Amino acid sequence: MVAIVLEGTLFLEIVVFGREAGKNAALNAKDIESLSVPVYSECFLDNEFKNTIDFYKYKEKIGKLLYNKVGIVRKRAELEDALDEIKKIESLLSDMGWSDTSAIYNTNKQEFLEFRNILQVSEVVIQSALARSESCGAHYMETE
Amino acid sequence: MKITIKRDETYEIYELEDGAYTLLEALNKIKHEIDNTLSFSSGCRSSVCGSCAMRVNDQEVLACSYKVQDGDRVEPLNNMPVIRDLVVDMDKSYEMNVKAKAWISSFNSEAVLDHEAEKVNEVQSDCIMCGSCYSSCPVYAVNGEFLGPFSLTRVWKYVSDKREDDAGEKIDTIQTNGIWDCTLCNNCTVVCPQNISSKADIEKLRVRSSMFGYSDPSFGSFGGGFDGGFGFLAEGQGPDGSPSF
Repeated sequence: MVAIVLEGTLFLEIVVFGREAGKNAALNAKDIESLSVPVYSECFLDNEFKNTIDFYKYKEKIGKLLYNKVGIVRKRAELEDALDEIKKIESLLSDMGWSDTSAIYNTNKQEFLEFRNILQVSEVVIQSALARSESCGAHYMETE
Repeated sequence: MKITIKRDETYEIYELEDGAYTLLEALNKIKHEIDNTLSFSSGCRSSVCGSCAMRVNDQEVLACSYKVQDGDRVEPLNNMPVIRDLVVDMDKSYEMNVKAKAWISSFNSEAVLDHEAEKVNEVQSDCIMCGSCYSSCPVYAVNGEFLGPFSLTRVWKYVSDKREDDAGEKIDTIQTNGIWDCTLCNNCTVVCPQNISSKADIEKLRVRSSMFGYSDPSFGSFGGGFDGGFGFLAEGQGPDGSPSF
């Protein structure tokens, strides 16, 4: 019930303040140096995947990692730990893969693609958190 | 515990550890640890989105709210084409909302919606279109053109809404393959995860229809109705000359 009420009021906030925040972010982005995000020119799925490591286990690991180290109260050391961990998992990506080869409603392959996205977004979130040393809004940095 | 899952034409048995968890958790466990190829759809995990409706032991449930038991037999929804494993194509049931014109067609801007008016169709507004009712409906099973439970519930929602100015148009739309085809078997009420009774809504629509001058067309076929059954026709013939029963 509380969740629904929150959702209801938050939706209005997203619409009203989100628009303002988005506009300002776009304006500011022009003067701020961007963080590096890998750009894929070729099709990700054309790469070779050995499928010897189960990505579902790592998906759960990332969930816990982000909850514990990139949560509400953030510490620089923990963020750095989390970034290392994400990069380690990223390097295993070619050993992961999908085993369902069907072309119909293949959620296994879809979830593997989503897993790649999760890795990328996690990395950007952590890099961004590290780049902003002062607390601001939902980003709360604890001074060590 | 052991559960059986229908996968296309075959049934497969999966061995899972005992414990109290939902069917959706069990399916995820199977997909992640036993067989990556198992397909099913799910979304919110909290009975809000209606994506994970399926049948367990011939009863429609939402996988995310049903606690899985030893010996359960899991199958996809009935009365719609199976895409793969437990995933079905719901497009046709969604189209019924269009066929039934289940929306406000003529907006009455004068109508004031107070708390009391809000309560009138509060339950009907809870529909998550999971498709359980279509799967359980014996009429929809034999007549694919039947508008079906959730569409008719939605029609009632708008017919009973003060802001709808032209309820008559909606009532006209649901006369054929609509409210009179329902057998009032109540299956849809039993399976609905949102406690909506489409059967009760259909009954309300029948009452409203009679206020608009409509009547149950099947009454007319009982010996030709009230005015054709007094022996004016030849023995064994209906009003149009065809054999009567």
